[in-house]
Amino acid sequence: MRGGKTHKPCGWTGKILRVDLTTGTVREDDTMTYGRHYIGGRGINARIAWEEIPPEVGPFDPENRLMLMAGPLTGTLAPSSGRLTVGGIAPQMYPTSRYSRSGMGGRWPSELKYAGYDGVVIQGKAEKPVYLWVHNGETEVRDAGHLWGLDIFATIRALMNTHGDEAKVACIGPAGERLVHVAVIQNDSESAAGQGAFGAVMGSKNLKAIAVRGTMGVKVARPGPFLSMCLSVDRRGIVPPKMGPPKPSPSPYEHVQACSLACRAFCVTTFRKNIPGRVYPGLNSGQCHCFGFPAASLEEDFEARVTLSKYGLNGFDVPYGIARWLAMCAKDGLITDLDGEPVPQWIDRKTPSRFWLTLMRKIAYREGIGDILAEGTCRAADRLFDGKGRRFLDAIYPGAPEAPLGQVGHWDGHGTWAGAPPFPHWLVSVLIWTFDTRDPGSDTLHAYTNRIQSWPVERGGILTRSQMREVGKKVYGTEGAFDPEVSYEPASAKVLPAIWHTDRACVVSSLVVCEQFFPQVLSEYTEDHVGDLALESKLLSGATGIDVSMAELDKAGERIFNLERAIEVRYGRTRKDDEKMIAYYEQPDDKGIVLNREKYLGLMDEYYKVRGWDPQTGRPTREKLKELGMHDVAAELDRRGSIP
Amino acid sequence: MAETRSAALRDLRVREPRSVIVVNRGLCSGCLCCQLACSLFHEGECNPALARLDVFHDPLAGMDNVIEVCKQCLAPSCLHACSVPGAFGVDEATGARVIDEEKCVGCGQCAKACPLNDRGTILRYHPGRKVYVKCDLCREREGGPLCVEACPWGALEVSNT
Repeated sequence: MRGGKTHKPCGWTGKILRVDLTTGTVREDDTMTYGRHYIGGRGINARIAWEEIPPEVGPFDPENRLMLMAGPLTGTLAPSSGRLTVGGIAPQMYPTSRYSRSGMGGRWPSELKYAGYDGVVIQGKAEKPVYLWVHNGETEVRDAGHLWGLDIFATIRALMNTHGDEAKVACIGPAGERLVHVAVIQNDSESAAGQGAFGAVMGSKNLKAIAVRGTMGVKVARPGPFLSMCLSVDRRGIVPPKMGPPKPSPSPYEHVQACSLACRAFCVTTFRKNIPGRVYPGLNSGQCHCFGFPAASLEEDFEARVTLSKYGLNGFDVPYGIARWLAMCAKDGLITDLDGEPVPQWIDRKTPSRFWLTLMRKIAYREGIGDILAEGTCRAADRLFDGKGRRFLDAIYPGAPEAPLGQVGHWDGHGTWAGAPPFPHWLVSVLIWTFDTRDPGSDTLHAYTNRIQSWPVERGGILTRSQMREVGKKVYGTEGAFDPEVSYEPASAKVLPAIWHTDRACVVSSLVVCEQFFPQVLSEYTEDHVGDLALESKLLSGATGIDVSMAELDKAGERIFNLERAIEVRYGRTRKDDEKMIAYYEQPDDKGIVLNREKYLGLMDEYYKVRGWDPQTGRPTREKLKELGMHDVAAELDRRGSIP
Repeated sequence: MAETRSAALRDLRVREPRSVIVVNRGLCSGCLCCQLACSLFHEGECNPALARLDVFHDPLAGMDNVIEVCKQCLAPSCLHACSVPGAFGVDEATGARVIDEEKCVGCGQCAKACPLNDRGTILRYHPGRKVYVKCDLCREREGGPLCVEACPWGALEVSNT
């Protein structure tokens, strides 16, 4: 099912760039073939994956599609609009590679829009290293022999020298060239699509970089109302009053830099600068938000961050995944050193940067043991130390080694560590993890957990328990959503918010805006403290001139998630795979609380029921797919005998 | 020719601007809200390449963002350089140095004359309309310069002279 065509759309540029590297040809597809029903970003990626990537395709097959898809709000004044969603068969997924997604900010996604495209879809494989030069509606496939082997910063600089300092460059480093399973695609000094290792997919296609420059802008259908809507949005729409307006840091070593276009600075992303030391003195690299290297000093931490960015490695998986696993192996006596550099038995502030640099060099260049570590921790655990390290996996990788994820739970939303919510609120996190196809920590979970962290009185906020119950009722249709006394009963209390946030996250990463800010669940501005739940649809309507209600948009979110589920079903996913996530949460959280398996199975039953999926197989029913307008999806699943 | 010269001579005695936009580089987060709001207000589209001010950031240079915005100079080289009668003037209410797009022929003398216009961002060529555009302090807007309002960090301010 596809939407009708419209002329010269606003918001969307109307064109998707299709590149076949095997033949060296480019063509343009009409975005509006997909736009009405799948919006952009994550939604359009899922649709193209469904139509063009059958389950037999591996991550490094030329037939795999590498999709970098922006959305109708990308490049506009809509808050945090500078993002896109990457999709394709992801090598990092374990035990088998499969379709997945990642997100990227920085200045590249909006520049792509200004160059005339809503997204780029790359298929095939070039004979020799190439890069793409995309500028104002023109695309050239160029030789990249002189760039192959360069690190990410050197590549960006070389292409800025060739195409002007306004050119924006997304590229891979040595890790992506060597098909490392934790390799990223990066633009600017640190904005990267990390999850899934799409840098390796790019490397497998012999594509070193995509340089873009555009001056064509994004047309807005209703400039006046759109402008006032965007400017009326600020932090008070999401954080409680005590947190106040953001303040710039007075430190000479820190600088608040937006990691996404039009970000009205909600999470106050701080970059390092003026760091003395041995790497690119003064370079703004080393975002202080969310990831970092436990290291002895600011300088050593910075060295590790910059090196990670140069090689093009995943900033979640290296410090929290591979290194943690190696440390557990070292404690068990399975490994003592890397090239004479001792492997620490515990990753903490005493970890010397020499260890980080050695580890990253060996992985990025596939030296010695690094060649195996480069396959990702789960695959390395199968091959190293006679498999004795496999037993440590499930402490780091939720669901490993069985669940079809295989990426580090950089943030599992569980316990009270690093801003995660306490029980029973983390039941919502567990549900979201259970049904996702990857680590949802960075694009689905925060919207719920951040509210729980900062708004209730008992957590230092301003809302009493009864007020939180009221909000829960208005937003999710269940009073128990934010209630600390409500756990497994009634099941809907945790299931409804999990589904609501999952579907809304699909909308947010299709528009594409940032999950740190959307949706606006709570607000300081309103009497009942319910945020502007329809803001996404108002922004979309204002930008595109097509009136879309929030109900329709939420339906699109549901459609996108069901389509991703259908893709999973094509790989054979069933309820049994969903249940593999339970074991991880049966480990005690920091208060000693564990997931109650029996009661949780009841929550899962309710989830399938509300979703309109079959509770036995966990698969979407024919009726549900048809209700969402996806008759062809239902028909193919039927043909494959995978519809309940 | 004589008429052109006299027009230019008259313009040498330009009124002072009532206000200018001043920049605090250290507060800029590089979000481009100012540029996007500016182009949206003046052009009906979000397009940094048509904004009347510019935020440049070299991601590898380790420097703060560079913000370029018209200083509404006391001795405006752009205005003096314009040889088209009536194409360049001073706005009555705000004192902003402004281009009359009806009369501008797109010759680019103003852009060449401005000593701050290295990157071509203060006096910008509009490829669609084939004229030059520049900051007019949002003279048609009641609340004054929109970019100042759009900045979430207060990196831009209106300074009354």
